[in-house]
Amino acid sequence: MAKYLLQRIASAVLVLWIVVSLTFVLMHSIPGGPFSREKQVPEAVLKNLEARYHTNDPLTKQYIDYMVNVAQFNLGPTFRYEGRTVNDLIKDGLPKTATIGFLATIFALGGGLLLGSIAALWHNKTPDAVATFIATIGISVPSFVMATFLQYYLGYKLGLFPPVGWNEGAWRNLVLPSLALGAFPIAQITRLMRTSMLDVLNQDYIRTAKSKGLPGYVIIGRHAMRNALLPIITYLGPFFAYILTGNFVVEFVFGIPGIGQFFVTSITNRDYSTIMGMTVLFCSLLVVFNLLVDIAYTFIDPRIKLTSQKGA
Amino acid sequence: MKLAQNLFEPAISQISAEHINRPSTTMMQDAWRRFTLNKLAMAGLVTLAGLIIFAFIGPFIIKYNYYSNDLMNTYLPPSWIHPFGTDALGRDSMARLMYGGRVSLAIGFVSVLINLSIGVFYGGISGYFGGRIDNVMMRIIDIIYSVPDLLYVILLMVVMGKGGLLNIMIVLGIVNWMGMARIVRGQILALREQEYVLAARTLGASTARLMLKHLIPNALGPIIITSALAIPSAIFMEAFLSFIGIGIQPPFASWGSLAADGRLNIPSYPYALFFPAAAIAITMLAFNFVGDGLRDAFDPKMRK
Amino acid sequence: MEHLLEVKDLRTSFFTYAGEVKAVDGVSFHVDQGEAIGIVGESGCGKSVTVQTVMRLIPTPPGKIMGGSINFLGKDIVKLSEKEMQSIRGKEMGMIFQDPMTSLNPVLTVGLQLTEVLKQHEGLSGQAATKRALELLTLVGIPNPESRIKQYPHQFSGGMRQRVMIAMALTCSPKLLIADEPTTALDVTIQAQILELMRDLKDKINTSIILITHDLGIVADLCSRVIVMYGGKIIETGNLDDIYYHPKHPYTWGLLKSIPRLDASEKGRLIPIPGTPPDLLNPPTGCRFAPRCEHCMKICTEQMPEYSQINDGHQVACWLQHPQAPKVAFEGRG
Repeated sequence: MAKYLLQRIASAVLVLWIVVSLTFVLMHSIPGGPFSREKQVPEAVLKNLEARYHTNDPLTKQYIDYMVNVAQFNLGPTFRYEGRTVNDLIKDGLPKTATIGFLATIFALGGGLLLGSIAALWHNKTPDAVATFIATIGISVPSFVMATFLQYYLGYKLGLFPPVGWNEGAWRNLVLPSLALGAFPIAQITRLMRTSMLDVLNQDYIRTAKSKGLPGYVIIGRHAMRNALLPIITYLGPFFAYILTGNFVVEFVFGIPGIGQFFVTSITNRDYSTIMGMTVLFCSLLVVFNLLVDIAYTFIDPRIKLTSQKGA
Repeated sequence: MKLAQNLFEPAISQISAEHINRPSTTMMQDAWRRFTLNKLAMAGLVTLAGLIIFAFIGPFIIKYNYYSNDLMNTYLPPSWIHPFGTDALGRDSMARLMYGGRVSLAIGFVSVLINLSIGVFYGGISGYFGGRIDNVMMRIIDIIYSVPDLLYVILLMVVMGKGGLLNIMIVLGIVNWMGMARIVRGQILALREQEYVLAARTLGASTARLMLKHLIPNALGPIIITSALAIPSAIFMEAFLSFIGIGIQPPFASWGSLAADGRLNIPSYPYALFFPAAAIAITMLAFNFVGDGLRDAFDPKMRK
Repeated sequence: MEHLLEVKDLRTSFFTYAGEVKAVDGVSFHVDQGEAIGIVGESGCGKSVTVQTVMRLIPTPPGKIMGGSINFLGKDIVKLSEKEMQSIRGKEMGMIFQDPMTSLNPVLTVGLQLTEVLKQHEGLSGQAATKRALELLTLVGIPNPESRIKQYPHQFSGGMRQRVMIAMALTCSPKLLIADEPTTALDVTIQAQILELMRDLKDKINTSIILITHDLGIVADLCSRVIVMYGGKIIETGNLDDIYYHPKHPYTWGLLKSIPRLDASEKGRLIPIPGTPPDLLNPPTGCRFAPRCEHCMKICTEQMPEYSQINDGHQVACWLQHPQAPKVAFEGRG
């Protein structure tokens, strides 16, 4: 187990390093520096800025400096917001993003598993048709369309929830963004669960369970569920990636000051220090999460062995 | 019970014991037949055809273009003259939707074409040679895969500077090929163990010939399905990029940029958002139905 | 003496997009307490569907019991509710299936799959249930049951898994055990072990057994009576002596001739039965075996043969038994 963990961690670090380096290279290949968007800046000021931000040092030196900083979790200053570092931005924004992401996850997982199971259990009858229909809509409508739609109808027109703003995390403000973010995954999970459950219900071991005289709820709850969940767990990796990137849109549309919004504005502002910092953050989160999913998988499916075990 | 004696004479069996029940068809014929039977998939196909006609032929029919300003007539609600209304600068929304459609759909198709080329090539080689080459190539994909493609797309767009049709196509093309490569590789790995490959090789077929004439045609099924499902994904990404401002720039339009423009005035004038958003949603829905239909059509387990 | 299980004119069909498939078309037989019978036939002849109908395991769309009765312990299974069936399954009737790998749940421990039956039917839990489970594992010959009980199916070999299945089916000492091709997926040497195990258990617990197989070779090991099915119908039934030494139906002859024998001449060829099984969607009129039968007569293709009683317990459905039919003798085995 420990050996496996170490392997995965080493692999994760490698990936991170490659990604950060790539980002670094990309950022520094943009013609013009971070200050070229400004109106004409006087020479002296420009020199000062450059000295301050080390933008004129040889590229390799900048690279090494940056890597060293990253290793110490120091993501550097932003170019946009005077006096604030990227870490500051993250500290501000991450909790907000995390809240919405978390709510969306609960919504998507809970709703998806439920709808998917219902669809499978009432296969080819009305509940199945309804659930499948909802799911198809969910995966076809892009997140920003869904977000703006919800904002318009539930926010502006019907006035049920505030259409924009964070408002210190008041619960009413959390509803629309979480729904918008969770729309696509709930559809995806519904479809996955439906297929998976249908597949499981056709398996021989379900027939065996029935032949033992076990009642329906035991068969579904104990025998079917755990097997049906396996493909869903595999999906959790891409799911998390989606939540992460989906936040860009949702925060943008609903005006939530989370890290997604910071990232998007840093793009429009060509604030490449922030862009890099955010990228590092996102990739680290992803990598860690994928690792956790892999580990969780081994606990749920006893057939996956991390260490060799004696068979029969 | 006495019966007629002649009933007990030997009979030559009338029923041929070994007849094969159904006529055989080629894979493509069978898949096409199954696809056409799928109502949802056909509906999707028809919708797509309609959208393509709307976007590519529409501009020749309609008398407005997408760039003439008419500041006297901004934000008109839908009417007979302007079926979809007008936008902030008085331009006819329907025309803009048509031209925007051209852009969005073209990006969808072309970038997937690029995906296809790179992916089939990479996956084909990896699957065919197997062994170490395959391992290394797949590891590379695994590493690239760990970053969400949206991130790449955004970063690359930033690097490329201003958005533009060509840039977007290229970026989307080179970011999304990995899924296709994996699928192609999987297919090729399975197929090359089949006996007809061995037969062809003993007859002296070269690698290229094997790939082009034998392996890839048989892997066509999953390739088609993956492509069909990749197009809406590309359209979505382009729409997203334009939505946050790094995609198509004015005065050009794509459905995404139109949606972004429309967002600014939702409370007072929802039509500017509604039509492009509906267009995107309908397109993606149609593609999804078609993709699902294709998947079912090519799935041997669902043979009827 | 009343039979433990009496099946009368059972009909089960499957309704598919292509039409009604009459998988079981008028099957009648009985099983007495303490006896083991074998049901033999090719794939698709309806033997599995018959016993699964007895357990009411057939999924009801697309399957449906079209008629007949199944009398077990004084009740007609066809008329019972699902809840009533649940109290019979696993308790009075047990079943073991063909492929033990797919028939055991891969994510649950073997112990749990045993104790859940105990909990459901006998209200045992915790230590008491575990103790019983260990006893069962020992009974079926699994060494080291204490460590095995916590393991998962994939950690067992094929033969071991089948033993676990048998243990699961016998948990509550059912009156009837149905074994649906229990050895088909196993090596020949393991086959012998499993059959011996079943024979022992039958004697120890006095369970009746229905053994389903396509292999006439293993029936003789365990069973005292044989039922031969073809095309959804029973075509011959009798005790071991009747079937192996005095078979009357051409299909039974075919089955016996096709068993490879150690003492067959080296130059001889294996004798299969030519042709393919009938399409149960559009079954032929008349005897279902007619298209493949070398003694086929005109009447065979027109009318379904009736059952003739050869002697007490030996029945066959074949027009050759009719007094007006030519006399045909079985040439004996290859």
